[in-house]
Amino acid sequence: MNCDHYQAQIHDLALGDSEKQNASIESALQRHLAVCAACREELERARVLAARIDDAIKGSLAFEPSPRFASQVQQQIARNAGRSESAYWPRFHSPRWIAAAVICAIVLTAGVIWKTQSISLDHSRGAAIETAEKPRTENLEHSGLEAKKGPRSSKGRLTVATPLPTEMAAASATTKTAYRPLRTRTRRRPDQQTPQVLVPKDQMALILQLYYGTRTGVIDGASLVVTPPGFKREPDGTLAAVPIEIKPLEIAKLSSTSSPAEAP
Amino acid sequence: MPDGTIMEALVGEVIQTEVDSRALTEREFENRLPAFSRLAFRVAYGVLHHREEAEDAAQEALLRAHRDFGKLRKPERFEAWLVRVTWRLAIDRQRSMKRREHREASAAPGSSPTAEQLAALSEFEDALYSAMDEIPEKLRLALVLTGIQGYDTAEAARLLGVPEGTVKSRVHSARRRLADKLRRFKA
Repeated sequence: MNCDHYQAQIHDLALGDSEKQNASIESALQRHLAVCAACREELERARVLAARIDDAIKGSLAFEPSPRFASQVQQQIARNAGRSESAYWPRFHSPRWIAAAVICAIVLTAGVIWKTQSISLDHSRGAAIETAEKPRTENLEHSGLEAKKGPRSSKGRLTVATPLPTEMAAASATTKTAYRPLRTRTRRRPDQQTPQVLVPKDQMALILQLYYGTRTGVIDGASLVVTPPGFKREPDGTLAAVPIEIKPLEIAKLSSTSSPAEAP
Repeated sequence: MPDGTIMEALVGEVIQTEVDSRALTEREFENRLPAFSRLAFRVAYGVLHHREEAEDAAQEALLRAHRDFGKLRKPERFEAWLVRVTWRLAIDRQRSMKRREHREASAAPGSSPTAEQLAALSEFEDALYSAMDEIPEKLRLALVLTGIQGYDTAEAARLLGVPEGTVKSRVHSARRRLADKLRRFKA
């Protein structure tokens, strides 16, 4: 006798929902219950439990609200009726809307702070490049050498027509790059460009030297020493000018009567 | 009659009609407030099993119902709408309740159970309410509505907006799940 086969049907029967059972299944179950005492006991226990569940649920839902409940609701309705009829604002008094407003305020504040710091950073970069240029130019003038300030590229990079090796190094050694005090709300001049790189203030001249070397000269990768164009570095480290030889351009003269084999 | 006077008369008539309809709906709401209060309270209690919490949830639902009563396109669906709003508010309130030991033991009216009987009843009810919290909301709502006095499966189907057979199926499933969870209480 396989009682496990009938357990689900016994519980359905205990719940009293006969619609769940079709006729053939129910008749088979009834035949089994007629001969199985254990299943009959199980059915009885399941019925008692189902009845107990139903009674507990109905009992809990038979509670009445307190006698003052309806009058309290009426009073609250009367109070609300005296307020504004607008249904728009009360909707936003809920905690969800307040939390959403707080989050938006935090995000906006963070955005404003970030933007302010970005603008300050741009100002300090511009100030650094400007002060880095100025001392170099002034020192070069003092040394009596020519310093040409080439045209600025569209990206704000500096180009120098004639770089000066040792004098520039000497000048850079004495250059003290000082940052201008940061001015708030500084209007940019049209020719003022945003620098590409931020460097420490005692490294500016060396960086510029390296930059010139990458553009026009030779760089010793081991020591990062720049040899400007038109110069060569002697074994003792000094630079010597290298004359530039320009050969004349020779164009073969072709005559109309001579054959190509006869051309010089 | 001059045109201006006709227009004033028409506008006056429209405004008066709207005022009258609004007064009628508010009057109707106030007349039915006791019945609405009981329904809202019992639906909330079916979730929260705590009188004060259930009253708070029911009051909030009734205030919302009053605020939007005039806006209902189908006033005959008001009860169903009230049930849904109350249920949702009660579920939200239950989730925010940190402790559940405030449940009240429901003694049979007119009886004087012993301390042992009360303890046993309380243990069973605690287990029952915990089991009810675990079954799906659709099944639970159908079970609660059919358990309220005066609401059978047909009434519950009308409130839920589903066929009666669907309600019967949901109630059966809910009771089956509760019986499985409370198997240890089989005498």
